Amino acid sequence: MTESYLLSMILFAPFAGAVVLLFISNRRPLLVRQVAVLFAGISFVASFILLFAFDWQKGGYQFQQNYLWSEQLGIQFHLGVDGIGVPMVLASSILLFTGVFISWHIKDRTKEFYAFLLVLAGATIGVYVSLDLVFLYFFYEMSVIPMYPLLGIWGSHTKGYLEMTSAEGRDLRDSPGFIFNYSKEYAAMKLTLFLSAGAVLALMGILLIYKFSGLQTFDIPVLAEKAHFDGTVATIIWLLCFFGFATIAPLWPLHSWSPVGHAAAPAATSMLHAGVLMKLGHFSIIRTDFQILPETTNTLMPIAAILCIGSILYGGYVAYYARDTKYVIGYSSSSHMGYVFLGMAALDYISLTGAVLYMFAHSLATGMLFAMAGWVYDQTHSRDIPSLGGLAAKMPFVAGAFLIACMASIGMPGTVNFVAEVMIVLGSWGRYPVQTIIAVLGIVLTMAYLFRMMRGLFYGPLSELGHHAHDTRGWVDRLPLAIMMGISIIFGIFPGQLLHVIRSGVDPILARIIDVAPIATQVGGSVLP
Amino acid sequence: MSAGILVILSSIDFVGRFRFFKAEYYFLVMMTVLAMMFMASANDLLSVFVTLEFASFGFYVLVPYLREDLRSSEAGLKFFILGVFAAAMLVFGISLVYGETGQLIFSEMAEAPIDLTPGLAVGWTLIIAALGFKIGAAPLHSWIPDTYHGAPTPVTAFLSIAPKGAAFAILLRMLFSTLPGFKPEWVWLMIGTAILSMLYGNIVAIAQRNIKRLLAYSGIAQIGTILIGMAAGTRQGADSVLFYLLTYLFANLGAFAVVIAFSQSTNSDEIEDYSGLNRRSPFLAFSMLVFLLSLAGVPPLAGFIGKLYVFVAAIHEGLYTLITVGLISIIISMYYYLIVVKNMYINEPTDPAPIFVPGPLKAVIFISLAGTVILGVWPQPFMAFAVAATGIFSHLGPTSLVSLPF
Repeated sequence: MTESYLLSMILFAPFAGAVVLLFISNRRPLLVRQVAVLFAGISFVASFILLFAFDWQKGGYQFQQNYLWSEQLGIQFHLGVDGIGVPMVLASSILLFTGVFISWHIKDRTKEFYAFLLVLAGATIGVYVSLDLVFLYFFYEMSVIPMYPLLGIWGSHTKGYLEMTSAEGRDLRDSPGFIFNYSKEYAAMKLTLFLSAGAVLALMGILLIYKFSGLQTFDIPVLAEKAHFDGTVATIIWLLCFFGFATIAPLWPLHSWSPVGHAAAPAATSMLHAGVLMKLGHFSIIRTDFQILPETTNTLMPIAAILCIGSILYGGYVAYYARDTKYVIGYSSSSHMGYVFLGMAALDYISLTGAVLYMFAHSLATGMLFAMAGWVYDQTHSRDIPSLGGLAAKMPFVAGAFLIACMASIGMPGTVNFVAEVMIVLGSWGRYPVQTIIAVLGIVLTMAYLFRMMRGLFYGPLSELGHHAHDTRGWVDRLPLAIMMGISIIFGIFPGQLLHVIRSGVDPILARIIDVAPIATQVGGSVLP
Repeated sequence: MSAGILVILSSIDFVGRFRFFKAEYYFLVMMTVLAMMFMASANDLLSVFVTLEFASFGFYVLVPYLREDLRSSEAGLKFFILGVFAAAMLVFGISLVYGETGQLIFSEMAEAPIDLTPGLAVGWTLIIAALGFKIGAAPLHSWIPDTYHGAPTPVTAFLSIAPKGAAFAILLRMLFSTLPGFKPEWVWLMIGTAILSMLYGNIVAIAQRNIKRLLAYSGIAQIGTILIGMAAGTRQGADSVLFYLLTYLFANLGAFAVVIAFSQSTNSDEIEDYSGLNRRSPFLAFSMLVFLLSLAGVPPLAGFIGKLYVFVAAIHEGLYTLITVGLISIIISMYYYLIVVKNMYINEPTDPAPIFVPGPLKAVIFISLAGTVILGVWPQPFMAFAVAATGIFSHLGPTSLVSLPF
């Protein structure tokens, strides 16, 4: 019986932490951090228990909790995870726990920072465990809002922004010609409005599902089982949900908020943002479109297959030319999210499993990269790659960890990313060979820009900015990196449990999509839809 | 129905008065509250007129209460002239309706089936317009910004909630139980005003530099959202209107309480002066954040549930355009609320002196905070309350409710 409260524990621990923090004085920063570690730790440990307690042979939704929340509107507070939710919950709590350590050195308004961070992470976990459309939206929108103060207060302007003040004042700085030169306020506002706009699109879709299902409920399992939509209505709902949630994913051409937001955000926020916030999009598309509208998914998913080319190539191309470390990583993650869309679009058991695993893998790899870009920025106060260099001499541990993170991001064998990438490529080949070739090219591109950044930051002559830099000291700074590296490598070598769990979630969903109208997934199908 | 809301309101509001006004002030406030309770329970057109004027009378005195302040006097004059104009419309409308039907009592009017003659149409339109003036819906909103800006802030807080609640009570009763037969006609009025209010209120609010004006325009937009529920014209629509009013009450009252506290120690209502409020008074900044986000409709706060309720009521009736406009206006409103948040949290203060919050105001803010959060996290009992309230209200016109299109 205690097991059934596991999800509530994972979900509410961060919120409880945020509430407790409200009552602690800002003059005791150490206590603030300890409280944050405690509550993040509860989620962290509990989600590992969740992974191993999840019975993949049984499949389906497990650890369910269901309470009536509003009789009038037919909303239920319905928690539960399937095989797709479990790895994402795990990723969120890992990133929250490590993020708390990564931001250990934040001095300004520590309490507020940790409170917002906990709410952000708690809300993302909330999306992954809710089985009610309203709560899906509820937590989704709730996770967007803390980003505004997190970016605005503790974020940083893009390098060069402040030097761009001309004699005439701010005109020069704010002119659109200075792409990549944004203030943190601009980034925060853009991110919040973009994501909220996506959210209301999806909300319209959710309301239409409610209206046309005629079931007076928002419950996902019930809707998936009983609701039936056809014709134009189904197409409209599908498109609303797809593009609403793809905004956060971020699917090209809706990605532009994302790198700007990454660049402005403090390290821990970038980690959560790239690691789990973006995956809310894919996850919600699976929950709404894949589960509730399987037939329409079958006919319309090629949209994603076409747009993901844009994501992969454009993201990679910009990342190669960007000078700012965080832009490189930011665009690289929008590029990598293209793989996930490809894996989803192929509607194949292997590729969808790969896509879900890739979401998990990518959150660890990008989390590490952002954590270290943040460390370099803290030490040198610069994110400009050409003006940095030779930092390997000053910070050998970070340089080593950065190399491993790059390897993971590229998908070297031995990391969990490799497993995921191979599965996506194998699974998609049958249906979309052209896109698969592009995806493989994208991997080469990834290698190019990450190694370019690696060389620019850590090798060559030591730059002036790096003279006072120092390596991570003590366990507080090293523990989070070690945790992320360790998990990435352990699951890379032993992906068994994780794969079984994901597969148990993917199978019933895909079975419905494919069984409703069989399609040619064999080799030799059309190259482009 | 609304009486329940009003009692809560008046008690909170009474605590919110602070000590720099004279004794008559309390008398006027109490009198207005009383008038509004009558207004909410008015059951025929004549008593609607009498109570409405009774309530407005108090405000005519309260708005220009700061005699020495030019703005306050200007606000009073503006409010008075436009208010009297609205009253004239109301009387004219009532006389036309009486001329056509020979009846004044709502329930009797509902029983007698009548055709929509031009005189009746003009009469009802005028009556609805006069009530629209009270709630400050878009084409009749022009008194709102200046009056809100000039009036003493506690009066503004009062003015921004209580008359709207009472006027909505009358509107609900009139439209839902007296005129359900004319729904196809009045629904267009509601839809038009809702769209106008939401768009106009939100777009103009972006340009505001004064927090009271910002809240005034955002209030117009909020009224637009409530009118979506009215346009739905169903039992669920009525419930959603009531529930939304409740959420609006807490968030708006709380926001005004913060404004009062701030202006007491700084003598300023400019948004720019809110810079760095988080450093000067974390409590005020946090409360304001919660209230503004609730007004914007962000979960897990009350405003979100209110909006959701209204939208769900509307989607049952297939009002897609209205919902679309409502959703777009959420995004617009988020922008200007976040500008205030940016000032409070991101900008550095020009004057780092901490702000003292007096006890009674603190109590008001705490109650509003609790209301905003609890309504958002656990709305079930309050929704049940709203449903029960419309249940009581159905006894007022039991026969007519049968013909309501559920």
